[in-house]
Order: sequence, then C-alpha cells, then structure tokens
Amino acid sequence: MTATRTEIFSAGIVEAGLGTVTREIPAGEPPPWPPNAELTWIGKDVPRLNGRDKVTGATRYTVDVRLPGMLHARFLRCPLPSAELRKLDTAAATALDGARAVIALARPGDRLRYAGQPVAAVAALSPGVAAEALAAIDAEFRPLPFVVDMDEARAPDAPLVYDEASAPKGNPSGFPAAPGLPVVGNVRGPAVVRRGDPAQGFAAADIVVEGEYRTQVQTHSCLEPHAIVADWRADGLTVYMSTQFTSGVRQELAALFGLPLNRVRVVVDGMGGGFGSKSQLGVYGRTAVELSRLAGLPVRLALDRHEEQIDAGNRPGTFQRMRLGAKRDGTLTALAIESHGTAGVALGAGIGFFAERIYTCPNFETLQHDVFVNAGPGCAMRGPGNTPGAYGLEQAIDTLSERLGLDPLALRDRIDPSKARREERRIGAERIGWSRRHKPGADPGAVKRGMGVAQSLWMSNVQTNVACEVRVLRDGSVEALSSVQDIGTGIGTVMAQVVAEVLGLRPGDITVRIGDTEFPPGGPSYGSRTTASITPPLRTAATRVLAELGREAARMLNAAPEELEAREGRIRVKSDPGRSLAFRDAAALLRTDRISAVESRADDYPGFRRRMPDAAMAHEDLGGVQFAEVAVDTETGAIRVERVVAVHDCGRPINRLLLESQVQGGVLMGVSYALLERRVMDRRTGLMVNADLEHYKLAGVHDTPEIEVVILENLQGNSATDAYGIAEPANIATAPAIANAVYNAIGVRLTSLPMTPDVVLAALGKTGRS
Amino acid sequence: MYDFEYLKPKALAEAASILAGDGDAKALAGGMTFIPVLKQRLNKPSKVVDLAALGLSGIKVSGETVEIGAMTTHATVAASADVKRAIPALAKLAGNIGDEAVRHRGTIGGSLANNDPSACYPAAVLAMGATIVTNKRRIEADNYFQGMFATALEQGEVITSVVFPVPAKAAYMKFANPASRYAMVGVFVAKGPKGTRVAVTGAGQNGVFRHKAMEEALAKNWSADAVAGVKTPADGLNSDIHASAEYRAHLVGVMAKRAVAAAG
Amino acid sequence: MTRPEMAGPGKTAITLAVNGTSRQLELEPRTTLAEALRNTLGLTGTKIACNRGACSACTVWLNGQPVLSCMTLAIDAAGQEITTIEGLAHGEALHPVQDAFIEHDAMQCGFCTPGMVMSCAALLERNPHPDAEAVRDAIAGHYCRCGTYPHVVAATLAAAERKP
Repeated sequence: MTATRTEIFSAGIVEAGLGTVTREIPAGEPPPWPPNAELTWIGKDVPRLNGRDKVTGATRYTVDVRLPGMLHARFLRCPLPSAELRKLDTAAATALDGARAVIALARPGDRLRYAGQPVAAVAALSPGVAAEALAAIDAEFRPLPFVVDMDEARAPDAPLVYDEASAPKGNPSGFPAAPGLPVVGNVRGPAVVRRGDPAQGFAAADIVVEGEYRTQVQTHSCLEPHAIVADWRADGLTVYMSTQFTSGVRQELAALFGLPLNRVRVVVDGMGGGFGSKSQLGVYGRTAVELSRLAGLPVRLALDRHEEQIDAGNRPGTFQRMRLGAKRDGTLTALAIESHGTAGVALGAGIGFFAERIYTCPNFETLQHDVFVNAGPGCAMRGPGNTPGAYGLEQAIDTLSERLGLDPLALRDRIDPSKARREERRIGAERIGWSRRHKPGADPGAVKRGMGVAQSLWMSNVQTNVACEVRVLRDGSVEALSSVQDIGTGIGTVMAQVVAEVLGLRPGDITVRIGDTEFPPGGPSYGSRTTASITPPLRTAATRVLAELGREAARMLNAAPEELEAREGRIRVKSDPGRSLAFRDAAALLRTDRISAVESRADDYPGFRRRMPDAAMAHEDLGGVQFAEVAVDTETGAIRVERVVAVHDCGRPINRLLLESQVQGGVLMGVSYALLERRVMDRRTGLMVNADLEHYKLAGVHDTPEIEVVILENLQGNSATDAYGIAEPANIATAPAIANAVYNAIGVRLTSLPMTPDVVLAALGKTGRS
Repeated sequence: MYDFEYLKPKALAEAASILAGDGDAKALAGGMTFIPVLKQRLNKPSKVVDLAALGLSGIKVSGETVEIGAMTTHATVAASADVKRAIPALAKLAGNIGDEAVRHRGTIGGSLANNDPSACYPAAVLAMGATIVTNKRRIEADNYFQGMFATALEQGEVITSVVFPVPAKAAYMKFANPASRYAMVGVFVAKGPKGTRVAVTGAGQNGVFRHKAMEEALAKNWSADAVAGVKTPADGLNSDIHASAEYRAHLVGVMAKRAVAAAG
Repeated sequence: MTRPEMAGPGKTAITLAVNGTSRQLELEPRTTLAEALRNTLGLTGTKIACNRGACSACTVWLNGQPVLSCMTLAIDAAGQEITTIEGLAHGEALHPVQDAFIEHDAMQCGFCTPGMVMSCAALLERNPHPDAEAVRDAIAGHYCRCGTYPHVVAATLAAAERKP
C-alpha cells in the first residue's frame, strides 16, 4: 500500500462558484494548485514556443526530411474497386536501372477490395525512376462485381465485399468495433447497447418523435500527407514519420520486424495534421521499412494528394433511424436508434456513445451496424462516432423541444445531468443573444436568419502508459522531455508552462524536447488525451527536481527545504522573500552536471470510470455547447454560418490562447462537415470522383463564421494538473448546431449532410433533388 | 508531367511559327489550367512555348473601347483604374477569378484560348460582343466560342488582345463552385453598342452561351423583374457532383436578376 | 543564361534569383518552382499540399507578388526575383506579420503557415492598412485544415496596426 495524505482541492466551475473536495492522494503527489487566477503561467495566453520555427519555415516536417542516399518509394495500387489479382510480375521493375527494391503486397489469386488498395511498392533513386519502375510492373486484374453505395450494399443481392471468414474481426477493446458480431451479406452487427425496457418506455411516452438522419463520408485531408522516411541499419531502425503516436509506432515496428524496442526509434518534429488518420504505422509505414530493409538505404514514402484522399482514412458515413419518447414536461422515457454506417472495407462506422450518455433516459437501445462497401478504409476522425451521432440526436432533441412547445435550452436543462453543460448553455445563450431567436421560418425576406444550439460529449481519456522527465542542468537551464508529438496543439508550450509554474521560471526558459522515442513515452495525440495524460506526471517530476535543488539551496539560505518556494526566477524563503538565490545560482550548487526526475502518470485521485490497457477514462465526461447563427439565401440555397459561440470545458485550462485555436479549428471542421465536404463515389466505376482538393471542398476563410470561444475552468481535484482535453468536443456539436439553426431560419428540416445549396433549394421545393 | 522542350520566344511571329509548325507544341500563358493538365499527364506536348516575353500585356482605353493585351493578368485588369472607370463590371469580374495568387499569374488570353466551360471571361466577352484579336485576324465573340474547350483559333494562331466595346450598363454575377471557385453559374448582362446581351457561363454543356429569351425581355424592359419572369430550361445544362442541371437552370435566373439589379 | 530561349527536354542549366542570391541549377523544363525550391535548393519551408493550385500552401513571391510555386515552372521564374518564407525575415528581425502570427497563435500544425505568411505579408506590402475583408480576400485561396483563419486575420490586422 502506498502512503497517502489528505488534501483539500478547489472544485467546481470557477465561473459558477467554487467549492472544495477532499481527496486522499499518494504521498508523492504535489500539493493542490489553486484556481488559475492565482497561478503565474497556468491558464494564461502563452504564445507557442515553436512559433518562430513555424512562421519562418524552419520546422522540419516528415516530407522535408532528406537523408544521404535516400530512396523514393511509390505504390502500385489496384485501379478497380473489386478485382482478383491475376498476375503480378515485378521482374522488369526490379531490373530497371535505378530501382533498388521492389516488393509485392498481394499475390496472384488475391481478392482486392477497393480502388487504391496497395498491390506492390518500389523504391528507386528518384521519384521519376520509381514511377518508371511502377509502370514496368506487369499486373493483371480481373474485374469483379462491386458496390460502393451503402444502401445498395445492404440489398440482399448486392455483390459481397467479404465473406464471413474474410471479414475484419473487430477488437476486444470495442474500438473501432466489437468482436464476435454476425455478418450477413455486407452487414455486420448489430452492436447492441440496451438499458431498461424501450418498448415500455415508448408506451409510457406522451409524445414520440421519429427521425432519419444521414451523414456523408468525410476525408481527413491533412495538409501534410501521410509520410515516412525509414532508415534500416544493422544497429537499428530509425523512422521519421508524420505520426500521432511515436511510441505506439515504435511498438508496432518492434513487434512486426522482431526488433527489440531499444533498436527502434521513431522521430517527428513538425506534424502537418492527423485528426485521427495518423495514429498507426499503416501499410505505407510497414512498406517503407520493408523497402529500406531490402535496399539497405533510407526510403522516403509520401502519399500524393490522390492517394491521400482514397487510402489514408476517412470518417465513415452513417444512416440513423431514431425514436425518442418523452413526457409532456420533457422527461425522456425512451430512446432507440438503429444505425448503419460504412467505413468502406473497414469497421468502425457506428454513432458512438453520444446518445448513450448525454441525456437521462431510463429506457435506451442502440443497434449499430457496419456495412461493407468497396471503398478505402475509414478510421477514427475527430470525435469518431459521436460526431455523426450528435448530428442525429441533437436534431431529434430540437424537434422534440418544438413538439413540446419548450425552448431547446429549457428541455436540455430538464434532461441533461451535466453541470458543466448547464453553465455552458447559460453563458452561450447570453453571448449569442438567444432571446432574439424567432419562430422557425419567421424571418421575412429572401435571406432568412436563424439560430440553433447543440451539445457535445466526449470521454475524458487518459493515457496511463505515459512518463515525463524534467532535468535541471548546473548552469540553471531546464529540459522537459517526452516522446509526445505536437500534432498542432502546441503541447510543448503547455509542457513548458507547467514546468515554469513549478520552477518559478518563464516558459521560454524551458527547453522542451519531444517527438522522439528516445524520451519517456508520451502517449498518443488522439482521443483528446494528451494534456490530461502528460501534464500531471510532468508537474510531479518538476516538483521532484525542485525538491532536490531546494535541498542544496536550503543549506545556502540557512532554511529548511520545506520553507522555500520558487518564484520569479529565484529560490526564496516563503516567510522572508528577501532571503533568496537566483535559480541558476542554486543550480550551480548541484553536485553533478545534471539532475533529473522521471515520473509516470498516476491514476486520477478518485480513480477511473473505466480502465483499458495503457489507458483509462476519467469519471466526468467532457461537455461543450455550441450556438450557431446562420443566414440562408432562399434564392440560391446558400447557407452562410455567420456566428458560432462555442462554450467548452476541459478541466483546468492550461493555455487559453492555444485552446481557443483548437476550438476554432473544431468549429471550422464542423462547418466544413455541415456545409461542404463529401466524398463522392461513382456508382458506375466504383472510383472516388473528387480525390483531390480542387473538387473536394474544405472550409476556407470566406466560409468562416465569427467564432466566439469561451472556456470554463472546471476544477475537479483529479490530478496534479486537473487538465483534460478539448480537440474532439470542439468538433462534435457544430454540425447539429448549424442544422438546427438552418431549421430555425427556413422552417424546413434538412436531415442529410452536407447541406449544400441544391439540397436547400430542393428542401424548399424550388427545384428537384440533384 | 512528361518532359518537354521549353521555348520562350521574344517575337510573336517566332512563337506563331513554332506553334504552326508543330501540332504537338502548346502555348503557355499563365499556366493556371495548363500546368495541372500537364501534371495529370492529360497532355504530352513536344514543345511548350512560353508567351511571356512577347510584350502582349497592357491595357489601352479609348473613348469607346477597352483593349486588353492577351498576357495581361487578372490582377492587373482588376486593379486597373482605366478598366474600373470604363467597364467596372470587367474589373470586378477579373478581381473575383480564382484567388489572389491565381490572379497574379492567370491571363485573359489564356482563359479565352482554353475556353473552360465555367471560366468567367468568356461570359464578359460574349455579353459585351468583344473582339478577339489574333496574330492573323479579328474574331467576333459570336464566332469565337465553339463549345467547351473549343474555339475558332487555328493551329499557330495566338491571341494578342481583346477589344471590349464600352457598354452603357453591365454587370456580372457569379455563383462560385465552392471548391474550385470557378463559376457554377455566372451571368453577364450588358447593354451597349452591340445591343442588349446576356451571356451565361458555368451552366451550359457546350460552354458559354447567350440567353436569347432574357435578351429579348431586357431589350423591351431593362429591369430585374423582366428577367425574373424568364424560365431557363434545364435541357443542355450541366449536371455534375456539385449541382444538377435543374439547380443550375434556377441559378441562371437568380444570377441574371441580381446582375441586372447591379448594373442599374 | 538567365532567360533561356530554348531548353530541354532533359536537364538544362538555369539561374534563379532566390532570396537575393543567385543560384545555379540543373533542371528539366517540367520542374515546378516548388520542386526546385524544395528538392534542389533544400528550401523546404515552401510546402506542397494539393499540388494543383487549390490550397496555396506553396505560395512564394515572384517580383514581390504572391504566386503558386506548384503551378509555376521553375524555368519560367528565371530572371524574376523569388522570395520564399526563408527570405522574408531580415536576419533575426522577423517580418511584422511573422511576429503577429506568433503572438496571435495564427498557426496550429503549421503546414499551411509559410504560405499563409507569404500572402499576408504581400498584402501589407501593397496595402499597409487593410480591413478584415481585404485580409480574407488575400488568403481566400488558402486551405488550413486546423482552422486558423480567425487568428490569421487577427494577426495580420495587428501587424498592419503596428506598421508606421
């Protein structure tokens, strides 16, 4: 049993009034932090420390890495949506002058299941020679029947993408899909979650609302493509990779190639976007390493934009059928959802746990199905499951509120148990001017304005397999180390703030070294978990090195170590701040050139709601409420999102400037999802029509609303920093908030994404469906 | 892209003779549509003849006409005080093509030689009844556009300038394709020396076309209401992943109405 | 030979004036300016994202004007002054737009940032006091998947205010 002590923590939502909570915490944990207002760096707008490199072009992304002798690799991909590989002869490619390695990724007789599936790969002296080598591969494909449309794939006579034996099996963790579910035709599932008795719940309802909602396939469209430079050498493998998880990729590589972990190193400096799609090694990663191993030279493999769109992941599309039963006062009696979604040839096209957790409802059921089609594999994307799930449920709740004659906020006040969201609704309503909201379609004139609200929910993930190191050197310089990667959130700056707060220095005084598996395991940049995972052990490690430094300083200051504090660059006696030493003078007293502390992530003080291998889930979910104001041109059908107010919580906010950036990004991705983006598959050819950025549209600056971001300080006394994440909650509520605002503007409900101008006009009865 | 021989002649006659002598030689103006075509290997030119050194850029305004050199960039046209004064609708059209960086490279001659069915300039040229001047002849707008990506230009014929008669009234309204920023539907209305004319780009399966029914309505009564009553049949209009023919037909009416209102 | 009248097919010697320095290169005529900068000159600050002129990540200046380097042949840029993100600052002193980008956090993953900076800095060079709409027009062709547009606009306006 580890020693513990009792501490009293500030707890509650600072904006709504603070209380306290008493926790029994491990003895080695640092003392509670006060609210941010009493801290120096935590919760402040600290500009990101690697900003200078980013604005001068000095940041080195994986696509910028050039190693001596580096080869260039490319894939040969299946040109058809469904085919049998009849022949694969790589002899001519291998013999080509300048080709250094060729590997087959499929064998004659193999079934290929989507256009773009890798079949072979080459590494050559230049990209041009690699292209020639690809052309020299003699591959024959026998076309097979295919289906790329989810509705068509559900038909009993649809061409089968898999048989039961070959279909993907799911994962014991349940993510992206549970194992052991039946496969009938192209449909796998259902995955069932049930509580209470839905039939009884509907029988007890005064009112039942039904709805059908459809969401499109969205591609991640990271601006930096998936890229890797693999350098296989006799003494070990070094991989430079645009990855969201350096230490995870290292584990995959070690297992796959039979290497000890200490011979595998994964490095990333700049990381040009991931959004879930760069979480794993992937076929491209494996292939580059294998080519490097064969050629004995470094190999660069970077996808081009076309490959990026067809075979680098996507957010699955969904079709949701929803029934909601309620009493006249709004109390929910039953909620039942059946969903079908498609992640192409992969699994994980569900609607998440949004409906399961967000509202109080005793009788609940979801039946979620995956539908296989002949299209590139989907994968996690910013709020996977919950983003399409919220699009459906939050519109159904909006419909229910109208049928009940209740304000959508009042209804949620009744059925939503989250204290954070209650406060977020209150603040957001005030900021957007909710009292100005009119009845649906009541705005006169050709351009109709409307206002809508929707809510967010995401789990408070924590990676427990995480450690951080803090070093103080004898000249007073400080380093913070972790293998964690900066996906764009500025985690290195957050780390510097935490260490600076503890050591009484400025964030710029801290040298942060991240993105390299030579440092302690930093965990993944996905699941909105990075800050929650690494800042507590970082604070603990910094506290420990400070204690060691304090022992030296205490002797010099004739004080007991516990009488000292580190403030404003000095180690000083709390009761007599005039008795002090400059931090660097204290460091000069060290007996060795460097002291260091490594700490791993302790459990949240009140324990976890759920534990998984290497990870866990905190008790309280993350909230968030977003309000949107739109203008709909009823002559052209164009929707303009004019304003979004996004009110969010993430435990203790560490850096409001960076948080604001992330929330704006989540909102923008939601605007893009709501209005613009759509992967278009040609039913006749089975190919993606808009596999580029000329026809696959992302939100640009002219699509950008005015975005007001409010971040609550929601203290829970859960860890040394009490911080959680925000990336995914910021994305989940946007599309339904816009959809509800569009309904409020035009009085007609749009139930499919994206809400393009032609869809709007058709809904208004001005033109037919396109 | 495939490799090619690159030539940057300094004399128009030299450029024309290279292009005339080799059917696989291609002219390069601003490159904003040509370079992507090359990258996709949709074209394998033997020679690429860069027209940048021929001295073909510049703007001349007389009382009745605005003449724009073929290699004049969209940014130059958009920023020209002369064009803004004489034909403000044309300056505005140029200023809304693509984006800032595209406008610094893309040229009026390149746009017209390519005749993309959703390009903006063809609508202006056709609605104002402009004249395309080449190294060989002067081509009236009504004879120049021959269907999508097809023009009256012959092999070795190089556009040198475009002459716009200054209209009394003119305006262009475009509903841009959200992704490419090309016109999903663009309508240019003009009342001037060449009559009352309405040209539609982005919508037609055969590229830019004149909307005769609207022209008649406007000739009788120049008002937004006059075109609002004119139906545009969806037959012959484009249907693609961005919009149906029916939606485009509807947009033609809306854009025409707004263009007339803007023209005053 | 700075302005070749004929070149290629195959490698040809050309001279590019990049960030105030004359650079000799051997390039095939089909090489884009973006490829020449990144692969031949090692100036990897200029990014290629869509490679089709749809995202503006590759924006550099030609004679002070923002252009898309992935849509421009390197050989066509010979004889013109090329400025890349690496050449924007004056020694240690950043361009005011760069300073403002840092202060306003006008970046996330940073991959679109060099192009964005080049467009915003070009705007201030020709219009020292733009309004928000002018900034939006200047970056209308840029894609930022992280969604930094609001901070980019705020940063550019702040940089303009700081300019004399």
